[in-house]
Amino acid sequence: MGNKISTFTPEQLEAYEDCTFFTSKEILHIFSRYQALAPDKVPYDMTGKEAQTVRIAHDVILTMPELKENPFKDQICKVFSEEGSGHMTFEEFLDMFSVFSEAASRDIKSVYAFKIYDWDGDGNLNRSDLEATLLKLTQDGLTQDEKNFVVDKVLEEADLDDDGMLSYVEFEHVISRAPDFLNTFHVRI
Amino acid sequence: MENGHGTKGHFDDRGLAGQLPSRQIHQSALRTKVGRNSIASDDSKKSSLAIMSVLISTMSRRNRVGPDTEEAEKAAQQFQSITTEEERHKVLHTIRQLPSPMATKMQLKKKLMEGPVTESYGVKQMKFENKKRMQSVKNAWHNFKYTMELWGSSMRTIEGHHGTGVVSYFVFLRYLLLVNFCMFLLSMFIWVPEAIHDESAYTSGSTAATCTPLYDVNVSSNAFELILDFFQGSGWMEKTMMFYGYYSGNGLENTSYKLSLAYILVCISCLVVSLILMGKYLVSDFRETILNAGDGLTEFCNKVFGTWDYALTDNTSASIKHKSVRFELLSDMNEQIFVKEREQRLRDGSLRCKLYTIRIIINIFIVLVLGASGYLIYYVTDYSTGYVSRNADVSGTTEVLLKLLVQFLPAITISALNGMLPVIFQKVVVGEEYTNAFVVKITLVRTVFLRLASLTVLMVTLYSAVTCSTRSVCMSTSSPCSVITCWETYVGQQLYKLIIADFLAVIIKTLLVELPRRLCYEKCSCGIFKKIGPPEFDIPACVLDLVYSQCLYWLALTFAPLAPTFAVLKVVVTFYMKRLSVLKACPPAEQPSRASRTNTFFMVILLIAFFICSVPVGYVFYDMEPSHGCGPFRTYGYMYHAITQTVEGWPSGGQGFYNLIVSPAVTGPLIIFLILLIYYCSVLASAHKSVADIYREQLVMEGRDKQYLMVKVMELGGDSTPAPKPRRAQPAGLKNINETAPAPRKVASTNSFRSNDRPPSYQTNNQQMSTGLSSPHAMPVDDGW
Repeated sequence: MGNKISTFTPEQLEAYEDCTFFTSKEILHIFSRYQALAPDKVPYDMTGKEAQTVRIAHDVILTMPELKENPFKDQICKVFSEEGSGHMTFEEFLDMFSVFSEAASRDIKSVYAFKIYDWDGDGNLNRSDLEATLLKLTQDGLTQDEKNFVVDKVLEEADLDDDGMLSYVEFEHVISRAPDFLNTFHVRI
Repeated sequence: MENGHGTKGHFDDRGLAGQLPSRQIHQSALRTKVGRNSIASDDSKKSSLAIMSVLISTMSRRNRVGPDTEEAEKAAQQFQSITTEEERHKVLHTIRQLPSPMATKMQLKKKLMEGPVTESYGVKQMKFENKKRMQSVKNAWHNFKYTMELWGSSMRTIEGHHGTGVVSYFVFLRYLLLVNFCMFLLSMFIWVPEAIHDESAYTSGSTAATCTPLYDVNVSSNAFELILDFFQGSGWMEKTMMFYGYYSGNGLENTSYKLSLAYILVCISCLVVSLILMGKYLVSDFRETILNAGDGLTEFCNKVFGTWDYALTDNTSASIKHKSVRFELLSDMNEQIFVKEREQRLRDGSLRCKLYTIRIIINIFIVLVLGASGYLIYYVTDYSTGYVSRNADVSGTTEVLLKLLVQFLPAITISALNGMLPVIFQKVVVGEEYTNAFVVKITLVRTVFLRLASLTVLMVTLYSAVTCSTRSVCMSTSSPCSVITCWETYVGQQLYKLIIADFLAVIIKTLLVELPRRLCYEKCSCGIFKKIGPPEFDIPACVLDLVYSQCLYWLALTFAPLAPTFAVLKVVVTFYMKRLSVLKACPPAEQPSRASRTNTFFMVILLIAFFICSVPVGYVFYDMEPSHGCGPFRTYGYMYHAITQTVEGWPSGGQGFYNLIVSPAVTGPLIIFLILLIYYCSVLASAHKSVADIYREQLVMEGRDKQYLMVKVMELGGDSTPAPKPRRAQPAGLKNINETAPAPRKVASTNSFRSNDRPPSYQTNNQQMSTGLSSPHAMPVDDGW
């Protein structure tokens, strides 16, 4: 296609291929989406350190159609960005979509799902985390009684050591038996 | 140290409990992975994974995501112990599985590549090089698939609007396109040689040594009739390459290409290729299917963590999805209450008897309905063939049109039955009082039965029409059957009519039924359209339509070699019609379709239909006498003789080998062996299941042990608060676990839920829910189960 400025060096592309579940064409496509979000901020030439330094602001990323309607969009940006700020570099952006891609394994998806649903970031899904998840999921459409019912059922199904919250092991155990998880925890880009 | 107890007897995470290893997310994430993989006895694998586990355990224990340069440095020191390229490649492959931020992973990779790796030689190196080459080939193939993905952008749009359930239908459709395309390529072996060496003498040539009546077809010159002939497959259409009768093989007699052998081999290989493609699809999903089979014990977790479809991009779809998640949660709650209530009611013996009698009556009714519809199809097909043969020479527009209508009557009947009966099934199943999940399953099973039964009846009717006719007999009998000189073409014509009807049905349904209905729903202000509602995209019905038409193509291949071309065309047209329907006519469903969100389920139905279809095809080849007036098999007694005669031309070694393979001495033990294998696998599966149950019980006991020990530790530390009461009963056995379902205290005032058959709207449901749970649902602390 002629002499065009290459966005990444071959070493960079290879490194990205090895560290994510994407092929080189998909990585370039994702870069074009990333750049389209903030064309003036993101340079074409990312062969230097731009992939780790240039950040796109949190609210710009949330305008993407893939994330716009997601009730957990704030958490997603928080989980995948450094220090939880929500402003993402290209590498973090790429990592995010790699986890959400179809080729990602169930294990890595469940790790990140746990982090997304853990609102207070303490490493456990306690009642308040579950209630917050329900709130976002149903857009505050359930009464307190109904929410208690659902949270109790979830804890009863998943909390094997009876301590009132879900640790990662319990969450993973339950997720591995959830038939819909792999299908729904998936964003196509 | 803080008081380790929170409210209601739960431990505060910042205390002792927070330091437990199982709470450290990274460690536990990898431990499970390492645990699974270290079953392998490969030494190099163990060491590389040991490296990875050390690596992760030195990484951040915080749950925030952030680059850990110093931790990565420490981990990288472990890489110094990697010496072979193969090991390095393995560790490299596991890097992408780490749940760490990108920067850390890139650093790890850099450190890994800098390690002291020596070049190894010999066989191991060669194997490793091969693996690397395979990997790069696979990557190139993935890249190619990504750029050339057929209909990719359409699928993304549909997914954004409707979610993954509907998209799975389109993925299934795309896979069917692949199957039909392969069949099309294979069928070229039949019609391309015939087209090249064209000799349109489809009448019996000098090679036919029988006294069959001459197979000749009248072609009328009336323009109207010509159009009709296209739809009926008669007249000029009958003489084309579409049907079996064209393929006389006369033109190829001078070449070494035996059309008869090619014909039978192509038919068999088409079926085999379809089977392989379907099997490949199933196998790739199989592990997930087994895992997803689930045991119903994690329903609510699935609802909370797995229902939000991350692929939704459209605003209206998202709000509809929120509503449907609410609805699902509420209906699940209602369901729990309903099941408890039903159990209580059924303690009463007389009520139980009544319920079972109702169920038996309903099942008998359904069997009768299926039987009646089967008989109806048989009668209509019979009537149709009789009418056509009686009125073979009518003229005049109305009579001819009437004849056309009667010819399509079987197809119309089948479509009408397929549309109406599932509605009846849905209405009737309410009286049987099953749980929601079972209702869906059983309605689906009954609908599948209906579709397959109609196809079977059609086949049987055709068979009786064909074997009854006077063909290939010198002495003419005075049978009342219609005289069919070329029965394969006749069967091909009937199937052709069905295919055309099916094709038109798809187009008509979308353009003339769904789009106007949607328009009327939106524009008209009269109440009737609002009551009927907008058109719905019913996934199981659409999938069964696809399965039905695929069955028709499999059957038609033998009798109409151009059928796969039609099939490819039809799949493409179906895609665009359905896309139009989904994007413009049908709004996203408020009630999510519970039936089968996975493609595996569709594929299983297709597989069953495939086996049912391959029976008539096999029978035709094996036990039916081909017409002696037309077609490539006219010199043979049975069609499979084409193969046996070819084998006879082989050297004696080859012949002996072939005879051995197909003899019962080999196939019999093979079948027995396969049956034993299936039995062994099923026994293994049930053994694994019971082991999993034992482990689950053990997990629960370990949890209780841990709680007890924690309490003791707290006490020793000077804490004097009482121990938390257990939420569960003592798991004395497996049964107890299944029974520990916390039900809301009130059961009596829940009659209001079941009085509505239709799903109540959100508002009313909300009210009912709050009246149902009149006592606020307290934590079941110790209620003596």
